[in-house]
Amino acid sequence: MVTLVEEPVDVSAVFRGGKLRPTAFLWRGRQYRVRRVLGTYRSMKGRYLELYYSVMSDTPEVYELRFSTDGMSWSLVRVHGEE
Amino acid sequence: MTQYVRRGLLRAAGRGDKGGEGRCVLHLDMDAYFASVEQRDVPLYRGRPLVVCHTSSDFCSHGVVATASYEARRWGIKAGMSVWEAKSRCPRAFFVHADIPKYLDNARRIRRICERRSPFVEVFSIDEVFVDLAPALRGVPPGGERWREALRVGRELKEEIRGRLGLTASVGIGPNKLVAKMASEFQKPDGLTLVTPDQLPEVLAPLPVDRLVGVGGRMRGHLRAMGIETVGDLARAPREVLEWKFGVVGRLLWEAAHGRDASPVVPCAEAEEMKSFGHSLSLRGGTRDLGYLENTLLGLCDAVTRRMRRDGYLGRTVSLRLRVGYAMSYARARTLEEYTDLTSPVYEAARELLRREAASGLWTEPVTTVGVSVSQLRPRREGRQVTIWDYLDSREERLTAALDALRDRYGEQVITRASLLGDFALSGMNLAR
Repeated sequence: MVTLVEEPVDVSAVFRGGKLRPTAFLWRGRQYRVRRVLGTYRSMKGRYLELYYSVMSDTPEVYELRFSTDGMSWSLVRVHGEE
Repeated sequence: MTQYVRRGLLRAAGRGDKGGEGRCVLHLDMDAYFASVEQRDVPLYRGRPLVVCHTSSDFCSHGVVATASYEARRWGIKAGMSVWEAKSRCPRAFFVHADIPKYLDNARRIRRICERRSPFVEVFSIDEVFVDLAPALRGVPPGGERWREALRVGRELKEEIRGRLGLTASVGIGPNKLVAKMASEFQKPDGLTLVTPDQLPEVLAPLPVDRLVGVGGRMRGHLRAMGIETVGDLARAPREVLEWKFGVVGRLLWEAAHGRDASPVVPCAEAEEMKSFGHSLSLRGGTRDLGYLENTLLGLCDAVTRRMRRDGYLGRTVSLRLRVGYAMSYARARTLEEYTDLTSPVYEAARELLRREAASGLWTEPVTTVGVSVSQLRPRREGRQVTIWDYLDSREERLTAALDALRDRYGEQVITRASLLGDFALSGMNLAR
C-alpha cells in the first residue's frame, strides 16, 4: 500500500563523485538511517530540478524522498508498505 | 495498418532507401516497463502482483491500468483494463500510481545506453526503441558472422541495461524494423531473438495474422472473413485482391506478410515535423452529463494548446473524438478561420461540435472517452495573420503568455482553472509533456 505523505523532512546527505545521496532523515520526530538507495531519478518542475530517491531504512517500508532546487528543500513524498 | 509502416515506406521512398538488403535492425522492448521500475525500487512489490494505474484517486480506486507486472498478468490483468475490473480480478494486488517522470528518466538512460552502440536510435514509445546496428557491425563480413555479431551486441545491450538500471528487456533482431519488432515478442520476458532473412518464411507463416504489427481486432475479422487466419495465408493471398479490398493498406499488409519493410530507423533529431497535437481521456463508467463533458474538454484543450505553444505551432482544424459505450467511436472536425494556439478558439469549436453531437440523439449509451486534437499545423515562426480583433482585445494572448511564464518557471501544476479543480480526472495525465 502506498501512503502519500508530502511533508518536509530534515535530511543528512553527502555529495560524492558528482552525486547527491541521502544518508539519514528525520520524520515526525524519528530518525531513519538510509541503509540502501534503491533507485533515483530526476525531473524538472518548471525551471527547478528535482531529484527523487527510493530508500530503505531499518524498517521494511520504502521511503521516497525528494530534493528540490526550489528552496533547496527535502520532502518525504510517499511511503510504500505492506499495509 | 500501423502509421509507422505507412510513414516508413513514404520516408524510405523519399530517401531512395532500398531497405531489407544487408540491414540489421534491433528492437528493444522493456518488459512490463512501469511495473518493473516500481518492483526494482520497492522490494516489497517483487514477485507479487503489481498494477500501475493512471488515476486521479489517492487510493487508486478508479482509472485505468497502465501496466501490470507479470505476476498480475496471471490474473488476466492487462493494460487498458479499468482499475475496478483489475481489483475484482485480484484484490490482493498492489495498486500504485504511474510515475511518468520516473519512467521518462529511465527511458532517457536506456536511450543513452543504446546510443553508445549506434547513433541511429529511434524512440518508438516510452519503453521501445529501434537501433540500426550498421555502425556497430561495420567491417563485419555479411552472412552468419554478421548476425552472430548482432546477437552479441544485443546480449551486451541487455546486460548493460540490467547492470546499470536493474531492468530486463526483450530484444529482437532482424533485417528490418517490422521483423525486429515481431522477433522481440517471440520470447518475453528477458528474451533475445534473431530472425534472419533465410528464416523469415518458416518463422512468419504459422503465426496468427494478428501477430503482424498493425493488425488489430477489426482487421483480423475482415481477414478471417476472407479465409485468412495465418501470416502464411496472407502471404499466399493475391496482392491485387488485398489491394482491391483494403487499398494501400492491403498492399502494405501483403508486404508485411513477406517480412518486407523498408522504413528506416529515424533518430529523434531527424523526426518529422508534428502533424497534430491531441489529448484524450477515458471517463470512468462513462457519462451523459454535458456540463462534465464540456469541462473535461476545456482541460484537454488547455493541455493541447499549451503543448502547441511550447513546441511553437499554430493550428486550424479542431477534431473532437468521442467513444460512446464501448463499441462506437467517431470523430467530428471543424476548421477555424484563423490559425491559433490559444485555448478559447479551440475550446469553442470543440464545444460546438460536442453540443451538436449531444443533440444528435446518437448517444444511446454514456460517453466513455473524449478527446480533442488540433491539426493543419504550421510553425509559429512563419507568423500569424493579425486581425482587427487582436487589436481590440489581446487580453487572452497576454494572459496566456503570463500563465505560460508561470508554468515554465514553477511547473504545470502551479496554476489551474478553478473549474478543473476537484473531481476532474486530468491530474493523472502528464499534460504538458
